[in-house]
Amino acid sequence: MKLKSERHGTVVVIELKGKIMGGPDSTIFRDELKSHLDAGIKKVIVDLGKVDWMNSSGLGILIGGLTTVKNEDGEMKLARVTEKIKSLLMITKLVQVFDSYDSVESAIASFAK
Amino acid sequence: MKPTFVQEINGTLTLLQEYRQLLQKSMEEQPDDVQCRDVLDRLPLLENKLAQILQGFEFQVEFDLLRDTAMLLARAVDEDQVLSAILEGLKKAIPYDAAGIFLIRDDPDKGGATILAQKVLGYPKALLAYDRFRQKVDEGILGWVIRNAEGEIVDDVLADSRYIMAREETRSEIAVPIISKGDVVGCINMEADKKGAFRPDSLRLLENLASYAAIALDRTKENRQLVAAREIRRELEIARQIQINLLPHTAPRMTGYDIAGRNVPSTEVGGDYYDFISINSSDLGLVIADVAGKGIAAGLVMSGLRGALRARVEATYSISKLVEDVNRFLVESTGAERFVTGFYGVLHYPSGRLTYVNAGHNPPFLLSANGEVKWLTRCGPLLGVIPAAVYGQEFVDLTPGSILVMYTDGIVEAGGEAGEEYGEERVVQLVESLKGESAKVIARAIDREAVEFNRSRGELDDRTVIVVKRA
Repeated sequence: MKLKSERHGTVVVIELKGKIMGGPDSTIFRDELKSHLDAGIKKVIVDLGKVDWMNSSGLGILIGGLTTVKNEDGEMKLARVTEKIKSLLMITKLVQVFDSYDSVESAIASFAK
Repeated sequence: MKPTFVQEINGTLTLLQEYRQLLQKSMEEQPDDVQCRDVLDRLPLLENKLAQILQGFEFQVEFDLLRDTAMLLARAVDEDQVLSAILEGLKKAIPYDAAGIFLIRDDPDKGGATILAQKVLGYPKALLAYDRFRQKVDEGILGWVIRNAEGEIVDDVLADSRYIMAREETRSEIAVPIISKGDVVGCINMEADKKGAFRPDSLRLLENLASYAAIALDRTKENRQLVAAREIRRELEIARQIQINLLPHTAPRMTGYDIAGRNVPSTEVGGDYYDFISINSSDLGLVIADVAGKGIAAGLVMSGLRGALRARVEATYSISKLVEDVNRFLVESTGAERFVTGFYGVLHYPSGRLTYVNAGHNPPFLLSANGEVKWLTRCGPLLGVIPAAVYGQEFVDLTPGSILVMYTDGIVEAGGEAGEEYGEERVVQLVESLKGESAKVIARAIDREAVEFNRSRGELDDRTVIVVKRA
């Protein structure tokens, strides 16, 4: 898994790319989140548009991330969720828990409301 | 003490020099003495010959030492034997008064890495007591040798600012680093009571021996690692046995039903769980669950889940409440990233009614005799994440001739890592084609086909299948 962060004002967009399968990926993501949270950024968008594949362990990374952000009184939303991930979220009923948006722009805009 | 071969040769050379002086003096007095001139001319030949013999001998000693050490290295398992042989053998090749093989150790309570004597000869006993022969890795001549990864000869230690005294009598020293796989791991050190006792040639011999020492040390480390790995494997095997005992040993038998379950973990200990719980003579609890992740960690959560579930089944009448309780238990006992997807249903044998809760798990399907497929979805989110999650319950009837299939994502996601997933549709088609077979055959076929589909294109996850046929 590859990871890239970009700040848009008070929002940070973390783009994930490749296969998300748990293991070392989880530490990479968590450390990245922590570094932004420590810097005072509370609005996080995870861009999943370039994710090839994700299994249940990979899902755990997103769940863990959400908990971490929430614990710091922040918010984490998902953008450009692929078909596979969408079906995973549906089966696990996490659609209730995660806010997903079709594009990064609309996700950023949702924070403004 | 009997003189050594080297001493005898050197003695003879000295004699020859005295002889030369005598002859030269004689030549001064009698310049025409032809015989005298003749002997004088031949003296250099003699001296060279003797020097060659000496060199040849020393070379032979070195060669023997290297060969013997190499042979010992090939035979010996004990690094101690090899290190002792090196120190003993060195005595013949390079005379010394004290020598030692030192290794670098990590010593947090001494403030970092230290050099520790592994094998020594000639040092006073008092020095070898625990604390005394440890020095910091950057101190002394040894420290210099280690830091610069280079051999060094010091002809007069008292004149060298780097020197740290370990032995009062020492006046000269020679040391080379022991380099294993590119890193300096220690050094071989020799000390003599007289100044300038060591020659530059000796560095080469010492360096060769140091590489043998490195091999001996590497081998011991590898052996230790092998033993440790074997221990871990043994523990894993024990854990695997324990886990096998937690899963059903046999499938329940009931007239009119054919039930089978199958579980294949991807590593010794897996995170999938399935169970048949005999609630009473007419009700059977069916469980299938998947702990996120693999290996021991997932296996431990799986055992906890099994315990929590089985403990509550008797006491809790409502399936929804049971799942809500188990969810809260999992939220409390696992970290944020650990979750479990699960499906729990109660089959009432006489009517064929299955009342169930699907907690975020891959939806089981019911294939009716007329070919209709119903997916058992809905109900609630996965377990272990949302503390106050609410779960509804649903029901479906297993009509005569229908087949209920439950599975974990290890089946449907097979192959997904490298491309296309095996997928739910293929499972349905397979079951349709094997309608007439026994539940056991169907369960095994589903697993086999998924594995075949994956065909080593990626790692396989834990896989579990339950098949319930109603006659």
